[in-house]
Amino acid sequence: MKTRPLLILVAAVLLAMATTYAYFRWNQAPESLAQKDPDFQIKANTLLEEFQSNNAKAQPLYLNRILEIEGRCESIENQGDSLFFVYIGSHNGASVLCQLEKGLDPLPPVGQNVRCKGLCTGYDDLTGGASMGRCVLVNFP
Amino acid sequence: MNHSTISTFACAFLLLGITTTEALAQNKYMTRTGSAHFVADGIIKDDVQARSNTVTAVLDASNGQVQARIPVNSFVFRKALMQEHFNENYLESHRFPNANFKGSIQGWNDQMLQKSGPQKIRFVGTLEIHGVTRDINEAGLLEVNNGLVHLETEFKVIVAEYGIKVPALVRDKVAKEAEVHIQGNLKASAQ
Repeated sequence: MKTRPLLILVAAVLLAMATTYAYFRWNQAPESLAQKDPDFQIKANTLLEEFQSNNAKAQPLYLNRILEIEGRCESIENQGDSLFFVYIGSHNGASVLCQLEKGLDPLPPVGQNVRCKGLCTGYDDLTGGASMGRCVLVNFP
Repeated sequence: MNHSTISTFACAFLLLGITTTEALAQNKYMTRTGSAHFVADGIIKDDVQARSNTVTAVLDASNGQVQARIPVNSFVFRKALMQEHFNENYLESHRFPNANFKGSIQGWNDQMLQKSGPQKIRFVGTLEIHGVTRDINEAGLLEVNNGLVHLETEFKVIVAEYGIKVPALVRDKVAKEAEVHIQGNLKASAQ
């Protein structure tokens, strides 16, 4: 008989722990990719070439994967409100569009070689470019 | 024909060439950084909303045709698990990576780009989400500002019409109709 209250107490504590865990897990914000290892390291121009020449093969390989690309910073777009975009590499007039996770100060100068890690959001058949989201520049500044 | 006449003709042809190229280039307007935002909060409010800032949109000013593409996995939610479920279970972004619009601006004429101030327009065409393509005809807005063509539209998407299945467990959290808002500032493109 003495064990019954103890069992109820243990069950209540376990339930409270499970509820707390579920609550925090459900409300957790998407984590930064800064500390994540990339699935692929690839030159920006090679990525563009692979998408442009055979999207059916490249898409399943790179889509939804963390990529670390390297290439020339072709241009930068600052839309304010921490919305920064860097266009990296160039192949047949198209670049990899990288949306930075947060604003950077300073931003890389156009023409400089940069490395960028982000989630590949696929090939853009309207422009011939590729895009990545939640990006962080590696070893910059 | 002397040298100066030949030079004059050559310059004229060169200028004509440049002008024609510029005119052709001005026919298309494009952005890769438009935005799309949707809200799909059900009876139980749980902040079901997300935003993408990598919307590609192309306007062909010669005929008013518009194409837009939204990478599904570019939508960012406030909650990581919600984002995961959206991509893996609901929209299946690995199978259907993009939402696409193909169509035109109803009653298009190129004078619309010469007018100042916002103009009410209608987008007519097809919307493809989750591999399902449906006809749409939605109100929108067009405004030209400093050479940029601003396009905007707001409409509702009935989730079930696009084959998106919401599990019974979260049925009260996800609305049957998602309110979608898409906009972009398109620049004259050389492509």
